[in-house]
Amino acid sequence: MKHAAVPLGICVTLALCAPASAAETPEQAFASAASALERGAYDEAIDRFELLADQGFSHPDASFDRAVAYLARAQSPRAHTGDFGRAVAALAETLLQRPEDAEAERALESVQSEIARRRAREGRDQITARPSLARAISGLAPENVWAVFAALGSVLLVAGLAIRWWSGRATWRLGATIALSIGAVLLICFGSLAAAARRFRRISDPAVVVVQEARLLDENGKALSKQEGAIEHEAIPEGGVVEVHERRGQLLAIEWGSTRAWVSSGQVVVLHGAE
Amino acid sequence: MRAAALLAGVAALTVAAPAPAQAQRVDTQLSARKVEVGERIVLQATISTAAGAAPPANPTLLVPSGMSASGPNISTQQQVTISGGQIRQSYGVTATWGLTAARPGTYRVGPASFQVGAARVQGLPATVEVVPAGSGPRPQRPSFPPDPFDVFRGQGFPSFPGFGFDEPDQSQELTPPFPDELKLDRARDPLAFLRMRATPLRVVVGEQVTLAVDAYGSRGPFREVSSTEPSHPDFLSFAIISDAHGERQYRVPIEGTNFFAVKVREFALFPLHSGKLRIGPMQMGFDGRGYTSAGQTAGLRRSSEPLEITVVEPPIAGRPPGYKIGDVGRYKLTASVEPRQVTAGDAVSVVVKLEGTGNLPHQLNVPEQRGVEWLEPSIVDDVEPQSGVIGGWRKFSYVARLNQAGSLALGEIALPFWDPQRGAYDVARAALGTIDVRDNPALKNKRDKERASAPEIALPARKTLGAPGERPRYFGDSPWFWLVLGMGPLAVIGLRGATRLGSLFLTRWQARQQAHQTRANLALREAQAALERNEAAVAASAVERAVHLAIEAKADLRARGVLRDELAATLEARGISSDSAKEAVVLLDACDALRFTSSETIPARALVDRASQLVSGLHRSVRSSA
Repeated sequence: MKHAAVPLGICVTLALCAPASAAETPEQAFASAASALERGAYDEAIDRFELLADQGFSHPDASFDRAVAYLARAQSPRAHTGDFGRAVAALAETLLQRPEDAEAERALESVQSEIARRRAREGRDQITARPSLARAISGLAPENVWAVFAALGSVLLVAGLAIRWWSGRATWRLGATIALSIGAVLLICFGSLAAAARRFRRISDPAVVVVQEARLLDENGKALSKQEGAIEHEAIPEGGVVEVHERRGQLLAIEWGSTRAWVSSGQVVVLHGAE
Repeated sequence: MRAAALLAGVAALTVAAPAPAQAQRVDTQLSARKVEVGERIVLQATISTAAGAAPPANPTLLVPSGMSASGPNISTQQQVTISGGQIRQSYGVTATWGLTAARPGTYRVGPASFQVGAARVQGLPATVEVVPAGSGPRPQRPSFPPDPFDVFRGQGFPSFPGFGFDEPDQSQELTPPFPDELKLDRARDPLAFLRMRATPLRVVVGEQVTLAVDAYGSRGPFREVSSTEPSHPDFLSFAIISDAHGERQYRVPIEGTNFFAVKVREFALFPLHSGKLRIGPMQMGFDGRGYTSAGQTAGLRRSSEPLEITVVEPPIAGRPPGYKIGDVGRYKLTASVEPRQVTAGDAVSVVVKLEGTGNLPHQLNVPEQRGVEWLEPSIVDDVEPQSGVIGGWRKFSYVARLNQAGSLALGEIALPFWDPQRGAYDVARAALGTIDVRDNPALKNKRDKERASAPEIALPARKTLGAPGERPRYFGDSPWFWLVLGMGPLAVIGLRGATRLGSLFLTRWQARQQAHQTRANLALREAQAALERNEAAVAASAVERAVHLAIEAKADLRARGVLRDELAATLEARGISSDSAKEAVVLLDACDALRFTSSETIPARALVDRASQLVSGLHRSVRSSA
């Protein structure tokens, strides 16, 4: 009986310990991943950081370290295709969560330059996508800047109208007319920009291409050709930032510059932290 | 009862029959010696061995050029005989081939042979004459010589199951046993149909789905021709049964009809991603007597229903690090590392064997660390269906170069997987142990070079979590922002509009009041004129009109519609003074008396004067209130 009790006790102990180890806190999981990164186990570090993200833990430093792990593996003999793209995705995610992170911003520029350099070395074209005019204009300043200017225009318009109608003095009425004209222009222009920026933010999610080239497809999954004239380029290069509008099965409707097309969902990573 | 009697008869005759030769001999029979081009003949080879001897296996048939063969369909039999007081057991194997000749001629078919232990036993070849199509003998029911294991074939008795040549006999009551998986309650088609089934219908990504297609025909045995495979682009596929040749046809009673049923396809499918994944229908031609062919080679065309499999990802909760979507099954890892002592810069061989069932991965995560360089592994495997389940082993042979001296713990290789039977994650592990790495001075230069060729972009990792980034707040997300933005100017414009509208109403109202007053004054003048003419009734009528108009101007009330008894109170309620109200009632009563009875309760002149005073008084009060 005693002999039987020992393995039974071990089993019970293991069973009790197992849930404890399974219920690792995000901070502990981050520490384990960072430790794997420190000792050069990039695959393990990437697995742990990705699991952390899949479990819903969103933190700019975790995203940054994930980028570090991908970048280290990309420059090692065990590099996987798309590691640079995934590093770009992780850094872009860091900046979404902490826009003032200057180190992440510099790193993102470096990685994108490195991707461009490698493409040039392989004899591939440098592809830059021009955003649509509306996106380009609304993206000139942060959304809140447009909102503040629109509010200012509204105040000017209110004051101008009130003075124009209820003041008896001619000079005041003249000033009010000028103010309400400026206010109306500000309100219309910046209000429209604020609304457009909000709409662009809400109708799509940013994503990054994590394969060497993401082929542009039609909604049936058939590859689009430049010769048909519908698109400017046939593929999006690694690290390219796209806006995802819709998911249909294994396909994603994306906007890349002024191009609207579909890509395979496995070829892009939609950024966490984006709304 | 009839079945029991038949079985008893079979047993009695078997006992009485002479014992079959126990020498290992192959008997070969043909269904016909003379056939037309394209007509199918059946060759049956039977071997029997004594119980305890090596069982016959691996039947082969030499097929001449110009003839094609399908099969073999293999069935086994056991026989017990009692001879001279001794019980003797024998074991038989029958292999059946279907043969078709493409051109006329005389063909030598065979010999058929079996592997028995280390030896191969073969029978005699047979000769078949093939004549041009249309010139041959009238097709007859194939006849077979007495079979030592089925002596009652053609004698009016039911044949033993598994011999493959049973003719349809709808009146037969004794149905040989058939697999439960072929059982059906309802036939989709009274003649022939295909049924596609998959188990299970809800799986996780990477979990095996067994897809089977069964063919049912009610007009006797059939042959599969011109099939179109079921499409399954979202699955990794392993064929377990790739065609109906060699598969046994069973009699399956469905709604009182005996169908011949056979499993024509079986696949192990592994879903590649989540979602509702579709498996397309399979099409097949039924070829045989009673099955009207849609074309020369198409057979009787039938199609199965498509299927939809619900595929989900295993839960995120409890997922171990390193789990790859699709690693589903039951795995075991073992590893060997050799040698255990090396000089820095040398390599060790790490052989990891992955065994188990399910979707065995093609890649393992090796325990990387600084100073250990893992090269790409060479892989050999043996993965195949085993009793309908995909499984086997895969061996990964790595070379790991060790560049740092010292006692190096290689760590372990871990493979997390989802166990669908337990519905939980598990991790297969293989410890790699420790290697003694001796120092190698020659390696120092190499290390220095490696340090010099550091990666182009080196980012320092963040060891701790800093303050989490604040989620940006957008003014535009607040409905109040847009409300205030638009409502400010709109409120001013609305206020301005309301003011303008109010003054417009006031002006119009005043004009209206003035119109009533003017008409009242005119009526008073008419009354004066009537007095001058000594027309009291006309004057009373004019006075009444003047009073009513004055009341309407003051109280916006048409007094003619109000009962006279209630008029005073109504006027008071409309803001007219009590005195004026009473006066108005008195004047109106006096006017009525003067007009209708010519009695002057108030003298006519006094009536006009008092009316003038009342109208003036009401007009004043209107102006002051305006």
